[in-house]
Amino acid sequence: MNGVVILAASNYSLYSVMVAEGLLAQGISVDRIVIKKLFNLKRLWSEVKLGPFRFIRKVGNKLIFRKTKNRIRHEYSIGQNFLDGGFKATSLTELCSVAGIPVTYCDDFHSKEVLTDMRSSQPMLVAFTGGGIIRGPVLDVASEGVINCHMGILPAYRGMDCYVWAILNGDTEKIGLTTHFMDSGIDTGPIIERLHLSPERFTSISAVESALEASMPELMIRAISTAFTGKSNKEIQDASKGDQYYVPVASLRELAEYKLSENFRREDEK
Amino acid sequence: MNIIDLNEKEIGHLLSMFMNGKLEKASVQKLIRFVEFNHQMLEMRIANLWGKGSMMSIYIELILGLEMGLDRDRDIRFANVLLKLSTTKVHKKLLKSGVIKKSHADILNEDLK
Repeated sequence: MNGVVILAASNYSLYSVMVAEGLLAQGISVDRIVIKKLFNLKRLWSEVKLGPFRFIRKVGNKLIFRKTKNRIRHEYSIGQNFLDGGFKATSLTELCSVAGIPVTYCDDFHSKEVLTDMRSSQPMLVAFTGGGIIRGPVLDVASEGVINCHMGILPAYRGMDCYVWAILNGDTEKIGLTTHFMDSGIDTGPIIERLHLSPERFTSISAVESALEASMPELMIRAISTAFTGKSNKEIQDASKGDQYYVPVASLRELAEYKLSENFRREDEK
Repeated sequence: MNIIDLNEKEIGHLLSMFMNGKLEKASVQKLIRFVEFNHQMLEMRIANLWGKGSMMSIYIELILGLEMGLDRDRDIRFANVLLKLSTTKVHKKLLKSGVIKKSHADILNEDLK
């Protein structure tokens, strides 16, 4: 085996489907896909706790309108990339069935059954494509570790909604993505690659979020394929060069929206 | 240092360092994490860890530290936790009893304009 095990937040995650299909297209073996079950009380409660409006937005974006909403609203979106890129599967279950990939459904990535399934696949890498925080035992499953694509520029911005915080701090050059190996901290593992996004062309936070999401599959696939060549960059992070951020309240999100539109207006006037 | 392992005297010392801007970055980070994870039931969490008797004084020291930190360092993470705390019952009670003169939301909204 010695391929990749993919951890996915849901069966319908476009990001996970695109990463899996992209890896298969490059001839990289996907040894197993572990999918978190959607309807799990603990999971629902932890999502609601982060904010009810955020939860409703997430359900709408990720489940109900996943392929159409962002495509209509934003030029750069994961839905658009999915349709343009000729991806075939509409769910991970469908992909696993067509490609003959073993699949595990679970409530928790750390359960004994999941760990046993993952270890039996003897993967070289684990690709984390969402589903909460992962800890010790999962981090040790693959010989080369776990790769994540973080929606922020590391080491400056760790944690949640980093693009909003970067706008609030006036750090617009630090809006982007970072692929990194995961360790026991939150977004503190060795950095593989950063991708910076120019905020000047975006007028809303949701457009920035959408553009970031659109770039995640490509960056993740590149990080994994590079790891297979044994030439991954592994830049050790200096934690003192950044902070951990949490979900911003609605008024700060509105302020970020305002700052972004002002930034756009200034650029437009130039 | 883990905040939940501190005794009452140690947390008092930590908060006074925080208010005076003498707390190092890593400990400020831990303090913010503690408040962020517990903000919905912060007063209960404080009472459980350091006793009911000291709950109010610790809570007030904490929000004063956050306000002073916001003023001094312009660290918008402090604004975020203050805004989250301003929706809690204990905060509304403090506001009603006059211990706090204005709601954080009002102060910050004026400030952010």
